[in-house]
Amino acid sequence: MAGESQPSTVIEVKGLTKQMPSTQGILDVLDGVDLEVGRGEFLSIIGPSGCGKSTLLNIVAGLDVPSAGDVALDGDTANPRLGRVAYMQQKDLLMPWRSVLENAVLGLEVAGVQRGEARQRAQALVGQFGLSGFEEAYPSALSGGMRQRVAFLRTILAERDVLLLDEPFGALDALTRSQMHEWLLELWAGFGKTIVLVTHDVDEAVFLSDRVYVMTARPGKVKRVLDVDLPRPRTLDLVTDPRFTTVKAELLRAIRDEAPRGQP
Amino acid sequence: MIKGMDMGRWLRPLVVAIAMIGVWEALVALFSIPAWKLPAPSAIAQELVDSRSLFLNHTWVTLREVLVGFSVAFTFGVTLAALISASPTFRRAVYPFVIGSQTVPIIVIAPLLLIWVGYGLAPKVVVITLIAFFPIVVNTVDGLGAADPDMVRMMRTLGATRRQVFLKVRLPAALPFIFSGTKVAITYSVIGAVIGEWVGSSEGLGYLTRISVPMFQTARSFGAVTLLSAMGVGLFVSIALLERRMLPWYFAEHGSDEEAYSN
Repeated sequence: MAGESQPSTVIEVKGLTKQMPSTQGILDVLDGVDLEVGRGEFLSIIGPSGCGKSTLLNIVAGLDVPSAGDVALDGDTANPRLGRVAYMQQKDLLMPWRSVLENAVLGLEVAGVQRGEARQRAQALVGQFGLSGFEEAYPSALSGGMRQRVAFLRTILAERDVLLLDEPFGALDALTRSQMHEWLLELWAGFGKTIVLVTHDVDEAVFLSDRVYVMTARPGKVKRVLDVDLPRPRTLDLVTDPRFTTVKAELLRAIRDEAPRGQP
Repeated sequence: MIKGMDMGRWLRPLVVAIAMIGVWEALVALFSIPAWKLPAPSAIAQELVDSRSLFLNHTWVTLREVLVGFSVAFTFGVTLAALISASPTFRRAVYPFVIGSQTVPIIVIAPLLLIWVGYGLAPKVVVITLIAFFPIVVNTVDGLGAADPDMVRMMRTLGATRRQVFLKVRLPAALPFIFSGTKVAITYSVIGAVIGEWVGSSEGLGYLTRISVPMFQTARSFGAVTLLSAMGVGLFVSIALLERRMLPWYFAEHGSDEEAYSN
């Protein structure tokens, strides 16, 4: 709504710390995380399992509160963030009792958009999401890749400027995943949204992102921020490009030190 | 769950039924058992045809009791379950008594109901409610707790209110459970009506079974029992068909019990 005058930083996380009770006492999940996301940026967060990546996204989405530190969304730290950023998790969380189209319009429905109007907006994007002809199908009739695209459509139709994606491709097979990567980049170029992606897949992070944040093992801290200076638009051919390999090698080095002991 | 109107599936129970009726008929003829002791199936069928207007009147009385009682039980059960799952305090305070209510022998309460609420439809409705609300409450409580917590969180990130979360996630997720409870409850409702009529009534199929035996009209008693069974099965099937209509997604996902058994 503010148009041109919006600040170039959409999300600013400062000194974020999170402690959680567990069976072994208080667990330090996040320890002083700083993060800045620019408008229209594609940013990835990568780190070993249990480093608090998902907790970080939960806090940014407003589902969870930090023990210390601030999150500013469009420069605002005070107001609740629930409902202001779109958040997609690894599980597609499609409602089995709703058809593809009914699942897709969920965000619009919650916002009180008229049913016909909401369906129209969803229908306009169905082709682009590879779901033509499946509008009235139930999720149980869809493949994993299609289900994930419906979840994506639902996330996009929430009509927020920022998308938080928590390992959205984690459950897909390698082939489907790389197709989804190319597709997501096309989509992102068209929609001009800001994307924060949590992943543990190095190829995925390099292929998709402008910048990659590498996190340490628990308690999670930002270990390195890596610029991915590869040309766009990117296609799958890039994966074998020497420049891609160089960035990937650097990222792998940063991560390797953080793998929990005794694990590859 | 009932799977459509598939001939093959109906054929097997039909064969069993015909065989049992045949053996019964043969035994009665073979040992010349008097009709007041055990009427042959043919005698029961004859009685159903001969006294059809009598049976029809009493069937209507009982059906009305069952439908009214079941409706009250359903409304009461679902409301109670919604309150129980909305408030942990309410749950702890009330749930033990819901379970306790089922340990009280209904046959002891029923005569007292005559004193408390009179002789007509009311005591039957109370008896039916007392036994039929239980499977509805238990299943609905389980169902309302069955929604995927991640789905609830997803709804919250979309900015959903508590009310929206309930209507769009918890309630639809609970529906298959509510239907399971309802199918049990509707058959209990028929039994409840019979108990109510046995204790004090001047009409209904349950009343007919009670008065026919001392009058040596055993075939009439069996006829009434046959109609009561048919009523229970018919109501169960109606709800199963309604479930199929209302939850097509559920059957698309789970298939039917028949398919599960055939493996």
